Amino acid sequence: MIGVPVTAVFFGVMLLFLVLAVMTVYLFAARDSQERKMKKADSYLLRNSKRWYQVLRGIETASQELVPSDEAELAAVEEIFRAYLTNVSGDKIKERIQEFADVHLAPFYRKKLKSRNWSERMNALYRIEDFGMESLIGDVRRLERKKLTADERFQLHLIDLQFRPDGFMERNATRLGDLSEYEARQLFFLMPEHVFNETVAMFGKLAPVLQYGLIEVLGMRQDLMRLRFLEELLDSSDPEIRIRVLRAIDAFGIRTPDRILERAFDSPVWEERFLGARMLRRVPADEAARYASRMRDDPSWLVREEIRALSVRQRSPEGKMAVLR
Amino acid sequence: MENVMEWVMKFFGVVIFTYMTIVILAYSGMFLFAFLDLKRQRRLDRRELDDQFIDAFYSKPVTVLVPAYNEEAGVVGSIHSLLNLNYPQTELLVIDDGSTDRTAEVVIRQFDMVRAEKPTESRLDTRQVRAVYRSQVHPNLWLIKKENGGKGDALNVGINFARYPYFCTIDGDSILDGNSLLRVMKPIMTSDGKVVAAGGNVRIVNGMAVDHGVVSDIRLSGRPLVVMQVVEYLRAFLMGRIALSRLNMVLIISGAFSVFSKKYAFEAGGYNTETIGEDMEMIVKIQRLIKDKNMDARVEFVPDPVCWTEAPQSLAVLRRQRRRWHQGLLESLWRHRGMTLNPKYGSVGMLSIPYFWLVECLGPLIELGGYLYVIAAFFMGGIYYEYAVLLMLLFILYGTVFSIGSVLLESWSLNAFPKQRDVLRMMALSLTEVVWYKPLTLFWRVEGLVRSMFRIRSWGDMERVGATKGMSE
Repeated sequence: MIGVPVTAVFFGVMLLFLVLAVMTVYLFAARDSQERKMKKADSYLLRNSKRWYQVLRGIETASQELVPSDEAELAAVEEIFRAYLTNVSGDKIKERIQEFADVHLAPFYRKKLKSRNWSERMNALYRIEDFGMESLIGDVRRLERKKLTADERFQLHLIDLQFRPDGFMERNATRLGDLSEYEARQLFFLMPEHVFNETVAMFGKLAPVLQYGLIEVLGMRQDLMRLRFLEELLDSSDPEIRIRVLRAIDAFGIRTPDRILERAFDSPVWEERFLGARMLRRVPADEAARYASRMRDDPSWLVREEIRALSVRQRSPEGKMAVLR
Repeated sequence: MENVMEWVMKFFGVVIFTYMTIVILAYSGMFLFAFLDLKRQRRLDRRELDDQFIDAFYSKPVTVLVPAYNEEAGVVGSIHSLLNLNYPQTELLVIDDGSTDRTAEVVIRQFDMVRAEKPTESRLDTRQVRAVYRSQVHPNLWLIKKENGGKGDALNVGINFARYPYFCTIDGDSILDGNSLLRVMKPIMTSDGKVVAAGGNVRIVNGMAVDHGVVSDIRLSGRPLVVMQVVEYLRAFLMGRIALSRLNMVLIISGAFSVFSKKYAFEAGGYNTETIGEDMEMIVKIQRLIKDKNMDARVEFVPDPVCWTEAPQSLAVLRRQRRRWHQGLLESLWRHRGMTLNPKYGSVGMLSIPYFWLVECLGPLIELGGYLYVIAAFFMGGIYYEYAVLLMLLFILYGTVFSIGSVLLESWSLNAFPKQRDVLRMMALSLTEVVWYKPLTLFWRVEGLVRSMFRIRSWGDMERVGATKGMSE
């Protein structure tokens, strides 16, 4: 019948159980070690929280005792810095954190940047950005030459923007085309004003994904000075750009100029007509009614529905108030 | 006669051994995949990611749908957990699917609700909506009362009423960790919408201390039946789904916690109201839509965000649940049988669906046959005795070893159960899995298979014990 390797399978299963037993011992030992680390970190926090408060407020200078001696104490210092950066912050505090991190924490992160473990490298990159550690720029740039994941690459862009904002777009415009739009938006939001202005100025040279992200950010920033620039983009042959522009203008929360509404309603793209219909919320009722009657038989169900919803809204007290606003 | 018997034993022996070998190899591959993936992310400081996504400028607003049918015991806890979500922009729709208990009353009273109007797209046909209420305390919380039509119908009502482009489905008896929605949305946000559905990790809440919809103390249930389900969930979520997700072959993400693009849900025709397993059906429909229309889209499973759900505590309820799940699985596979081994559907059609047919759907029949084979072989003695031992060893390898491996993998990477005693208990119970829990669930799943064939359909109510209020033990 079938050749039955019972003994072989038996020993195979026993071997696997042995491996699992070893893994269990390893896991529990690792947990114990982790717990010891956490206790050490807690003890550091208990000992030094008040002194850190004094140091970060500039009342006293950081003594050698505050310098972390190992990973556990490093974790405690990270907690303190994160808490101050998130909850208190302020330029002076940031400066002091940066100074301390550059001198005393850099060796830890330099080592982590070389780690084979992706999450260790990512954590190091996050900290370099959070604590503004300029001393590690050289190490970060060396990392650029290696094969990196998309997450690492994005983090490198954030660090580059933070430490070398001037000429950021010229240096990176081509490479930034690989970002997702979400990442591009994040980058644009973090840009200092002059870099952002430069980016807007080179709009035509940007990859589509960056163009889309930039338009969204312009809408979110609600900077009325950019209205003319956005309006010019309505001449684009890319319907996605036109749709994004209309959405950005809608996000401004102003009464949309008639010329923009006309262009939206004349568009063969239903999304543009839909956004036009949505913009009618901020148009006085009689004018809105004129557009509404024109769009009532639109071929797109969503446009018709938006027009219908508009009529209902404008009859309600809330809607009247919104129009007045 | 002896020859016939020998031939029968040989035939079934070959079938069962071949099946077990395929399954063990597939599971080993998926285990390895999960191990490598979790190893990579193990030390990542996820708070950094959470901080990035929490900014409303970057995130996408989400409508959370909570279908509730006779969820009086757990619905308030669920809503509290959802109101505590760490997410910049959500609206919360509780859809009371014609409950016969006091689900709606409890929600209206607890959250100070009044009648209200809400715009609806009405693109999906549903049973009639009776009334819409809005909370005066939490203006983003709504209750929609409708005629009973099943979970799929309730979700369709929710999709029609949803204001935002993404919706998240949560069972009425489930609670979410604070950052769960943020984390499950991450692949959707970072992929610029190419991820059109994502599901999180579902864990069992029975035995945990729960305070106002938040799991405040992680403790393993004292009941062996619940502990076995905890292990089973760990195995299924960590091993199977991580690997399938990386290969874009996901066919199931739990309806207890999943996020969908509303656009794709509409295009797929919403939830099927006829099928028992509406969550799997929805994913299969979306996968089908993606391939049919050649769209650049995918479905992902995210292991980190956690949803806590209540598990059956009695054999009778567990039996009904497993029967129902299996019926749902078979119905979906049958409905989309055209995708099986169809190259048009890529890896989903060529690998994922055949895997679900062979291992998840027909597997219980073969495995139960294996148990019967072991018993028969023991009685027949001689060479068959060896077969019986071999098969038992394979069952141990397939059941116990992978279960213990999953418990260890989870403890090492995500550490959901920090107490060593709990980990040891899960491992100890896994050792007993092949002699009681496995045969029982196999039998129930085969029952589901048979019921499907004879078109016997009953949903079977899940009796709630209020585990989401910390009342299960």
